[in-house]
Amino acid sequence: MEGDVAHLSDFTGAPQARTTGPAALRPQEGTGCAELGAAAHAVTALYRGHALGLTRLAFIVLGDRQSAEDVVQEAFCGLFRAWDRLPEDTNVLGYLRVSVVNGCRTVIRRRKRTPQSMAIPPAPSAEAAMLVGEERRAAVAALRRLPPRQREALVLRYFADLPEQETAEAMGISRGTVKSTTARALAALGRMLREDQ
Amino acid sequence: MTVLEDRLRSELRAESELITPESIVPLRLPGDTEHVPGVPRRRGSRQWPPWAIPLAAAAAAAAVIAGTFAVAHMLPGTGPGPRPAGPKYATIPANYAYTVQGDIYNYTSHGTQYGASVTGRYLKVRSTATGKLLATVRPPRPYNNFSMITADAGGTVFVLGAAHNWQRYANAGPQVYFLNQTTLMRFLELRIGPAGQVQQSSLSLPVKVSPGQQPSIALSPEGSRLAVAFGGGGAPAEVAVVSLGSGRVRRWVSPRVSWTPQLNYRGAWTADGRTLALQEWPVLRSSSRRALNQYHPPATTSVHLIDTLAPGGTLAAGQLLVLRPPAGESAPGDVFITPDGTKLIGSTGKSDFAPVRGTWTGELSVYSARTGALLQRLAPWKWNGLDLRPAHGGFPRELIAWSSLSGSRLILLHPVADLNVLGVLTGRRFSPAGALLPQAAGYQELEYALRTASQMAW
Repeated sequence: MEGDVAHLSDFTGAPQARTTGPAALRPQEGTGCAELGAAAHAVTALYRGHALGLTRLAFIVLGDRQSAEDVVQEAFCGLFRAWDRLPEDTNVLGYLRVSVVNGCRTVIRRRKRTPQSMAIPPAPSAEAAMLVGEERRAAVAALRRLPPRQREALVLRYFADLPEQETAEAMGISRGTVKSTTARALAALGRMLREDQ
Repeated sequence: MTVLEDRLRSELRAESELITPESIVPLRLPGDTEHVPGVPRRRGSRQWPPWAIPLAAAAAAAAVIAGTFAVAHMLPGTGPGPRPAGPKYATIPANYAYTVQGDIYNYTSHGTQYGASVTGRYLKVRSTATGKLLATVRPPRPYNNFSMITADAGGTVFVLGAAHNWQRYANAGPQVYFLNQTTLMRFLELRIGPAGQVQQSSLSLPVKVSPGQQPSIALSPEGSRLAVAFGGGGAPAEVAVVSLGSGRVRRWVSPRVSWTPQLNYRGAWTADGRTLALQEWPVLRSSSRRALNQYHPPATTSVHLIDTLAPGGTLAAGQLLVLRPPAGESAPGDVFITPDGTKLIGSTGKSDFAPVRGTWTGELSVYSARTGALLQRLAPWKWNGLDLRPAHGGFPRELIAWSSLSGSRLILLHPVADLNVLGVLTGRRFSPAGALLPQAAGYQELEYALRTASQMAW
């Protein structure tokens, strides 16, 4: 499968905007959007094409719809702010993917710091336990118990179907580290599934 | 590819489909809180020269500090200096809380799998002046849904009602859940200190209620008494006012009635803490086709005004007002009593359905709390019937979040251009929020929470 995975851009049914280079997304004449800023127009077009896939990606990593939506909104806002500084040949989808992965890491870090009540146990475990709604998704539940880095590697490799090189770029690590992290994550996942049975 | 890889791939794909295309919220870009994709917006795309960036950063920092003070002063009572004791409805409460949609539960009924999202999965408390997140609170396990929240007038005391709504069947596969209506609810109290510190404790109320009794709660303006209404639907209806300090209870009951008593958790008490407004809610308790066919929404809304200092222990002891909607419109819903006790405000409207295309229209209807007569109609809106995207809340919603003493100034969720928007209604003028509310991350989240029917206390 190619780098820009199909299911990351499949929800509008409309022709997808090109995802390489800000110049590819300048507003078209005759769209009635002359007042629309070029960056806003382009980012909005990208959002239409990729919000679903990226929200799903964040949701898989975080297990929380609201946080996933926030992360994706913030990623697009970040792209909008940086638009004029991006080189023409930037892989915009790759840029967004990195933003989403980083945003997910921030959410996970914040969760550890969020003040919890005296009597209430930390929530992620409760949430993870309750999310195991279906036996057939036991692997997803097990995945959410993996360390964040291993979880990211598996999601990018097996949900987003990214090749190792793009996974490495999205995670900000080397290709070799992707291979070893993925292997360790799969081994841990297999162990957890066997123990759960 | 190994079996495990294959399984992981297919499960991830299935899990991701819980996020549906229709549920994607509109993009909101920086500097334009009302921007919706496709709607023209103004935004310069000028790039700053490198030398200007440090200056701009310093200016931005100064602006944020100045802006914070400006916002604080625009919100009376949230600025520096001591807050006057007791509820003052000239001021906006210091903090607000709202529940946020969390998990999606999959459950099976008669062999068909369904999914349901829990809108009250957890709760956030924020400072009104700054938007700062003060606490994220989750129900104590195994409870998994905050179905009720309420606050005092100052925004320093919150009471939360937690339900154990989603529960696995004991002797069935792990994938099967049911909506638990019988496990008694638990109540929590949050107290917010002047510096934003949150103290949480469990409340042991002498009144026991379960979700099946359709309970509702409202905290008195000074935060010391909690009103709990429940029952009806063929059983006796009851309202209990519990003193949180002493545990003393005063009850008002009715014989068996078809309706359920309902308290508007944001606007049930008058500012003096004496009068309680209670709405009769003709809830449909059966989902059978026959019951649905026979159900007709009521033409009017009945509201009981209970004087909690007067003698009497039945709901009949209170004053009963019948609120009639404007011609052709639905009976007023979410009835709110203004803190001065002079007016009742409810949302009314009508749908004009054509076979393919239709519109909703509506407004806030203001009634006299003495006679029940319709006094005026405020904040009219119109909604394209086809625009039911979940990101828009699906349906038009008009909800009062806060009212000044006389109701001359309201913070409300209000439909604008097919989008439910939080803003301020002063007289007849609605202004989308932004100037009156901090535009921190929490603002958009609050608005989204309100659109998607989450609970809110202010």
